[in-house]
Amino acid sequence: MATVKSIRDQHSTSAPVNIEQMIRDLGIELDKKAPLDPEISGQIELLENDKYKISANRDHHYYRRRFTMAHELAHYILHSDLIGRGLDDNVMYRSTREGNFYNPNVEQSHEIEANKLAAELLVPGKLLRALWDEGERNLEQLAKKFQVSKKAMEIRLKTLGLH
Amino acid sequence: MMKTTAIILLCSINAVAIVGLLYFLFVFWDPLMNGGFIIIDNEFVDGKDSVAFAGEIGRLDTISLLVAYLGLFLIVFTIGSIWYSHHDARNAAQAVAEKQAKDYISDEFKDDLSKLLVGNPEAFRTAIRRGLRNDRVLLEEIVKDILEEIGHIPSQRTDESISEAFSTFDEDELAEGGDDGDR
Repeated sequence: MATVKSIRDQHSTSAPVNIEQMIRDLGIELDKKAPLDPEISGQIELLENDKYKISANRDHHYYRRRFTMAHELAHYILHSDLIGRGLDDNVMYRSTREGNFYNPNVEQSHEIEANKLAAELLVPGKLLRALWDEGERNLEQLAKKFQVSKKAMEIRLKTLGLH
Repeated sequence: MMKTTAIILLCSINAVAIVGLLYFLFVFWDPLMNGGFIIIDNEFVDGKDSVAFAGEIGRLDTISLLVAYLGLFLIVFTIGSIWYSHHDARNAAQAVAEKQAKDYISDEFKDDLSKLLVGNPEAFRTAIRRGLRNDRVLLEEIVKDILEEIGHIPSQRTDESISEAFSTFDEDELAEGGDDGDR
């Protein structure tokens, strides 16, 4: 059976990372254009068949939904013991009563962990470092390549000690 | 901690042994014999076993006490042995695991990060513990978090900065993409 690591490695060889396929390869259902409350970015829920489903708000731009999907996937990877029937994240990526799955088990520290992992999933350190070493050092170009904002790319480069 | 437990265990065994010995002296030492012990004459014993003899002189309680002491000693000794062998096996396993983890870190991480980690036992143990708990082997990220937490490297990001940066885009950035039809 494929592991999270193997699937992550498989999808981390080229930019932009295909986060949708990564989710599906893990056996998780995906609705990336879900009709959700405007205050909700996305959610992950446990279905009747014991499978998980990740949904991202259809009203948000695709780039933002990419981060939402990565964030929910990070919850699946890191906090499967806390998800229960499900959890949702508002626009600030915090569990909220406005959504379908308010989950008080998920605390701010868990959201922080999910954000960090989501950033790593969308911009894998190994891949970014390899590109950087090959000479691709234009912030704007790199941001476009990974389909993230310039600010996000700047953070990743700083995190990896490249900028 | 383990040293303290071993000392306590040893002291307990010795204490029980000393109490047993003192009781033995109390029972069998005869002041009328100028410091000598009660001598059991073979004729007097007349083929009786020690229990029958003890019964005759009314000292079965001594036999019971000695048997109880022997039982207690065996129990304590057995527990001690099990504890010691368990401790020994765990140490051996820990040494192997530690070596493998260090090799892994040296191979996978950049030199400066692996040196920092391997040279800091607290960070190293925390990294391994979290890595094992998570089972997803994003160890480099985990290690960086730990090193940030313990102040070995300056914190370069905050939670707000990550979620905000990854979910907020300029107009021109948004204009670039958005086509996810093929995924």
